Amino acid sequence: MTLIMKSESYVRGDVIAANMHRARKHVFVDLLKWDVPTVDGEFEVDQFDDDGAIYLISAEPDGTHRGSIRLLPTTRPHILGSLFPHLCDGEVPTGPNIYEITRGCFSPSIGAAARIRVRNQLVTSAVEFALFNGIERFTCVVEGGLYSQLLSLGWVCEPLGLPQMVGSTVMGALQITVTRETPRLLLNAGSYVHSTLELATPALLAA
Amino acid sequence: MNRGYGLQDFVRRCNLAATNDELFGLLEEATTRLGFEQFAMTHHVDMAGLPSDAVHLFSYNRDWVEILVDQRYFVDDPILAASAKTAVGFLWSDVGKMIDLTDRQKSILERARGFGLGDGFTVPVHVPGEYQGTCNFGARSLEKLAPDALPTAQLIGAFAFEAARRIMRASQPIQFPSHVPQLTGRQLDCITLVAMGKTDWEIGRILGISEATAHEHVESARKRYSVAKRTQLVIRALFDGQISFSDILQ
Repeated sequence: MTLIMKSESYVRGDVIAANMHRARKHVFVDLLKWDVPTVDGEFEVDQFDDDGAIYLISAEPDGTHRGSIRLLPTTRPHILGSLFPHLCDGEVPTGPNIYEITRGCFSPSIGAAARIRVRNQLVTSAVEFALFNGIERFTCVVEGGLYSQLLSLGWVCEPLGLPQMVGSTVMGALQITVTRETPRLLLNAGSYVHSTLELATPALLAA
Repeated sequence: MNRGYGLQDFVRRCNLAATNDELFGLLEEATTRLGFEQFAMTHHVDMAGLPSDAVHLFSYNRDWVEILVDQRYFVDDPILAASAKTAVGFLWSDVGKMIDLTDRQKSILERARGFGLGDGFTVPVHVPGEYQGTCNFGARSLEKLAPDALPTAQLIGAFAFEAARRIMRASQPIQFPSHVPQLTGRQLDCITLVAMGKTDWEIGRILGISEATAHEHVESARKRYSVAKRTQLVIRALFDGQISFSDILQ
């Protein structure tokens, strides 16, 4: 099952949401050494974790975090538009049918094979969520080393610009087109892992 | 995005390429337009006995490819060794800073120069659970590189490799995810401990199960993989991404 949440769950003290922010702190701050803010040194929460953000989360029955991704509407401030617009050669793609995928976070403790499975589950869920909600494109900012992994999922990707040095890392921007064909492309690439989408918050895309 | 090279166009044609010949043509054209002279896009596998699921497209001088195979240079090729150390593209001139070159590796680089591969740029392709791969662009020298050749090559390498994976999949019988044997959580725990050098007795103590049960978990995993030795089981489980180096080296 993939849980779909909004930021109010974390604000309300939901355990699964809290575990996601805790896992994000562990992965992005402790392991990857990103310079991003934390709350109480325990939760990674940034300025984009606001009302607009949508989270797809895979968790154990007891609430333990397995993996998560965050979708941001591009009609509001988001990572590519606000922080890295120079990674796009042209205009940053924005619009009601375009969401940005950010903060893909997979718990290191679940092991390499399970991480791949959870990654595939969440990617499949993101594509199905997009199809249900009329989302036609995803954009994302990627570190240079992750291009191959992202492309290997089988969906249709295009670069939005050339990779560039940002600090000491190579970063680039990609866009992914989602159509009714996309689930089949994932299936052909061996990365389609269907799971039920469970809404934790009603009326998700309203307003 | 047309600074120096029509990248969008390349990506579109790459996504449409249906055969290795088409892909080869695209890469050949890209190689020239970026200011390189030869390319090699390959999974790091035994070139003397290529597995059927390996990407292997070479425009390198044929004599040099023969030497790579005959001398088994591909086994300790310094470029391939360096590519395991990084996730992003690197210049061959920086390889000496990335790994400690052995005398044999220095002589491989020197001999390659004689076949028009004096310098170059390599894009590593790391897909979890698969062979390591690279897309390599070489030339006698890099004096004639187009503007933005290196970041463009980085993208071309990534997209071309993915096209090659897609073409390979299409040419093979459908393998539903996957031919990798399903192992239980307990079996994975035990294999990880075997990889850490533990005996059945030790594994039993660590996991709070009997020695016989620990032995049984390892044996049934070994049977699912149809391998004879516990060492083979560990290697296969690592290769398939069932366990990871970080699990073992923690």
